[in-house]
Amino acid sequence: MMFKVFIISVGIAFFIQIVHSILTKGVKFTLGFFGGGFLFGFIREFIYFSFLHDYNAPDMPIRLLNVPICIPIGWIFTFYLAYEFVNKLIEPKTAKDYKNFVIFAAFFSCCICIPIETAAMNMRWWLLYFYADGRIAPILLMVGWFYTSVVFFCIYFVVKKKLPIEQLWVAIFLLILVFVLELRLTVYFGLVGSALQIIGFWGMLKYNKEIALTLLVYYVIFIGYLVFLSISNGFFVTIIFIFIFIDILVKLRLRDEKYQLSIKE
Amino acid sequence: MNNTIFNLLLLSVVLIFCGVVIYVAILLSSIEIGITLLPLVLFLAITYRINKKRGTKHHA
Repeated sequence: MMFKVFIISVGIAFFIQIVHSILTKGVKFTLGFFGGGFLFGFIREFIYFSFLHDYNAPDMPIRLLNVPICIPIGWIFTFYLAYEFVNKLIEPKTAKDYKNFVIFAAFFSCCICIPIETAAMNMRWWLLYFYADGRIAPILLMVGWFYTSVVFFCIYFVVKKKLPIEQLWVAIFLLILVFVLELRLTVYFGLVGSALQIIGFWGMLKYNKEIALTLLVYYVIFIGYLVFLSISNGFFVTIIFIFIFIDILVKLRLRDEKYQLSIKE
Repeated sequence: MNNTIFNLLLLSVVLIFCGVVIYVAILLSSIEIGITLLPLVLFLAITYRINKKRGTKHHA
């Protein structure tokens, strides 16, 4: 019963988003963004459901190639909200702004991730095979939502010619890092896995330092969680949020100062 | 006028999302689940404030 309430609410919210998108940006944008978002979310979930098996949603209706349709829709839901609110937050104009946009949108995804994953975990709407304890969604999920948003928005803005094509390398190197982590290559292949991890991180550092350093902070906090297992997951989730908001406020402040300087000049 | 309606539409999406989470929090009598909404609310509050500040500057 409760699960139906969730599905219906998401359906209504998704419909409102489509109406909002058509009214404010037109049919062409809506088809591109929502179609592209669905395709991206579907491919991601197809890989996870077919090869990685980190989680499952046995009660979700309507499946395509074993992927519940609701999950890619959930991704577009997040991407569209992130797109709208980050647009309002920074009103991007330059490539540098769009680089910031990608990080802010990923931060926004993290803000959406924890409440919905926590609610779903407690209601058993979907099952996480890698985490059983605690009442707050695991810290690792924040990394998952972060990288998914970064990859989506990098591809989207490169396609829309708002970011230079080299930024696609950010997505590629990030995916290398993720696959090393997801397939536990450092555990099974030792040096080869570590080498791939270094290559992935080096590549990201070369093409987008800010995303690389943000991920490094996430990684250090995650290692802290693994080392101090007696401290609750919720504490480390809070630490990440504190980092996120400090980063947002510092970036906004710097941007504001640059804007003031450009006016004076 | 149109802009206000569009903002309200977008806000209603967020309210539905928050409503589901709050409903689960009440159902399970868990304050922790409700508290997880704080970062999202904070993000939206920052966005609102920055947007308003920018609007005031444009008018000035």
